[in-house]
Amino acid sequence: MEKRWKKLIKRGIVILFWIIVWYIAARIINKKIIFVGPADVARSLASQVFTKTFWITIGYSMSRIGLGFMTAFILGVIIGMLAYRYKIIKDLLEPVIVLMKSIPVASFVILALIWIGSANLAVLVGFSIVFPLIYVNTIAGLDNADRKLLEMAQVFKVGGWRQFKYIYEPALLPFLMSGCKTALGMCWKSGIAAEVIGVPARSIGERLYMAKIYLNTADLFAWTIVIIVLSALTEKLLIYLLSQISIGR
Amino acid sequence: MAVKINHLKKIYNGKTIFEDVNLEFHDHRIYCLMGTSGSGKTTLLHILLGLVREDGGSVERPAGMRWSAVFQEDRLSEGFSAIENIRMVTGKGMSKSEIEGKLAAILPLESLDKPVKDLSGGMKRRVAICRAMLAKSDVIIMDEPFTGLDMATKQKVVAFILENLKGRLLILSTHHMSEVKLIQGDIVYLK
Repeated sequence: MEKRWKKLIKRGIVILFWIIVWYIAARIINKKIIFVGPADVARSLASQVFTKTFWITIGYSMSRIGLGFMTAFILGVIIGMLAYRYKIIKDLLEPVIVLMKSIPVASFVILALIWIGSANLAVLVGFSIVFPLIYVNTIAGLDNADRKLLEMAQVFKVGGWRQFKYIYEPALLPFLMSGCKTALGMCWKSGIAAEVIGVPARSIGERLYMAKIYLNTADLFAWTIVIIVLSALTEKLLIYLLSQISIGR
Repeated sequence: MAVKINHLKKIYNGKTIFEDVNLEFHDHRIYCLMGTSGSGKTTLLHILLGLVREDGGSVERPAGMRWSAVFQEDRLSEGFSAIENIRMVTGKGMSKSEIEGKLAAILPLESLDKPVKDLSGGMKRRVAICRAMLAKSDVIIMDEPFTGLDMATKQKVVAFILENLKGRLLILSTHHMSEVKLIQGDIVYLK
């Protein structure tokens, strides 16, 4: 318990240090259009956080980005497992995955905007970023299953489901967790970028776009902080849920 | 007769490990496979288990024969408890309390629910032995099963094996004559 407090205090001091650096930098630059200090951002946040629109905006973007992530996660795991089991699926998907991994987000966002319009743009963009990451990590995790344990399972004729539970799942989970951490951060970044380009109504992207149009740097900073907090919270929630799978043994 | 080996030959990396090995293993018996290091005991056991292919000769075994084994390494799923490791091979064939009762004969009760990774080497070995004994099988293969066990524990484990053998064929490899005497098996030399 004491250790936890020490860690929290240490983290608090680090954050405080950077807020002070931020404050000093804003004072030196002294141009609110270019760079605002922590007080202005706090004011901007405080003026919005108690409004209904603020939470509707968060709900809108979170639901789109969340849907893109969850669909990609579920399909990435299922198709990753099938590709591990049937090499033909892996071979067939190889060029698609390479394409998905290498296509610039901006090009894909514009293409997706033409295909599906702006309302659900973040769903598709988030999906396209997350799917290859989860797919590749699923295959890598399953590949990492202990060969000697698999031989043992072969001798004892352990059934498919029990092989998955006792051998594959423990090998897969660390890969999925690390894949999720990377994928979720990227999903938020690309999802918001897509919203800024597509400007769907009531989205965080729209608020960022408006802040840019009206040169409201305080709002821009405030929404950026909101995105960082949302990304961190959803990552913690996801890692907690995944860790429950291993604790639930 | 349960298992027959005819003119078995194995070459590994261009080197002949053994050749013209002829052995017969009969039901309801215990065999202790002995031989110098490098004589191919583990390889022979792996051929019997179907994990390694022979380079000559053949192994005759009745169709549908079920095998269980203690490997040279423990080969346990480290994140799971001793009970869960046994459930992996028994499935719903045995209840948790039945497994617990069997394990308690050779392991301290408080160790049964701990993840196997937290157990000592000797405890892990006993879990691996218990797993082989409790799995539904016709033949049990054990590759140096008593490694890392002290004499008192060996005696306890041997008693456990004999109690749970129930007429099945047991083939185990060992370097120690004391272990052969303890388990009262027939010696088979691999030259």
